[in-house]
Amino acid sequence: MKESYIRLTQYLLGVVIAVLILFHFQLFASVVGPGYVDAQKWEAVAARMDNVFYDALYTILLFALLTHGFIGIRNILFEYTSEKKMRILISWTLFVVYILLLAYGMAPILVSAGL
Amino acid sequence: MSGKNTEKTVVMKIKRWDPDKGEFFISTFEIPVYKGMTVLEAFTYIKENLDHSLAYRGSCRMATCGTCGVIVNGKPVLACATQILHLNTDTIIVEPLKNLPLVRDLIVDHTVFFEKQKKIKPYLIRRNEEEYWDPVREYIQTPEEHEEYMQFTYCLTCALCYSACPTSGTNKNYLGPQALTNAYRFIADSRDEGTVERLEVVDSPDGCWGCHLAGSCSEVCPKGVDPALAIQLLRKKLAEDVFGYLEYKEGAKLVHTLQVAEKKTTRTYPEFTVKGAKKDVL
Repeated sequence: MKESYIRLTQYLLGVVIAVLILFHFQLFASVVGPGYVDAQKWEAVAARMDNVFYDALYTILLFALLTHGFIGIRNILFEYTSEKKMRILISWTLFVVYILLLAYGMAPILVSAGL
Repeated sequence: MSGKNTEKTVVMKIKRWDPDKGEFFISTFEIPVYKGMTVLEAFTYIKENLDHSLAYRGSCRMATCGTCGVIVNGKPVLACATQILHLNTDTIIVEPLKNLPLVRDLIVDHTVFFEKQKKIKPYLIRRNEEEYWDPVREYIQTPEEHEEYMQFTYCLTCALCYSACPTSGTNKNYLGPQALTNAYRFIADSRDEGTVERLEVVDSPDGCWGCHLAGSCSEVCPKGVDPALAIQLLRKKLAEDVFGYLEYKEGAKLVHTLQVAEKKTTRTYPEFTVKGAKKDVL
């Protein structure tokens, strides 16, 4: 894949994350309101997971954060080596870990959605 | 030095590379400084009067050839363009440029630097091979089109930016600010048709994406070139390419040289020049 696609994806997801996190905070501040602590209780979380809107929000946020973060880690690790083989190894290792973490993060969302 | 009034004496500490031992050593000299004396002139003074073994580079003495780059008090500068009195200090520490292999004393090997410049194809690329190798016409370019890349043509290839760049210091494959600036210089040139080739070279973690935006390259350039800007403009070109709105140039229109000469030249040349030209060219 062209490097520019990877870098621009990271930049754009950075913007998406900023917007979603602000939205996430705003939800807690306005919708959940003073009961912020209660909103983190198991029942409250489970109730939100039944809501399709929250499922979509968490899915997008999970995907955006993981992708943005893993591209960032890749960029940092690339600075430690300029060997092509090593860079390919780093990319594939990170990709595998990325997929595993994505699956791990998606599991409760999918389970709550009954899939 | 004769006929020049000494303003003060400064101590110059030179960090020199000994290739036989593979280590640095410091030589300290006292230099009588006159008004306008440059660091390069101080080197010459040392070589002529104090230590004949000092190795350094210098040529034009007017910030044009880019040969005499060294680090003075921590900042990469051209020795010929740095006046000692302007440094406002009594102790000057001189080191060879960083990020380049050392040869001896203050001399570094620029081979790697120029090899990286070659990678970005620093020449006009034209699609028409026949016209490229046997040019009979010149290309039209408006002042506005020239303005697009003009500041980037001032580069001396002195390698000060390369020495100041932290990424060049940590990633040996990084193209460096000079090569990337040169890539943009040709991409922005309306006469050039090699945008695709050059973008392929710079679109890499070792190309324009490797830049950390430290900006030290622009800070040290003796000609006021802004490599940090050029690298950002390269990224912009790549983004335009990804989103599909990069306009690939077809090169400037050709115009017959003689037509231009007939139209624009109002100057009269000495008779012998015209005759010689006719003899050689026609």
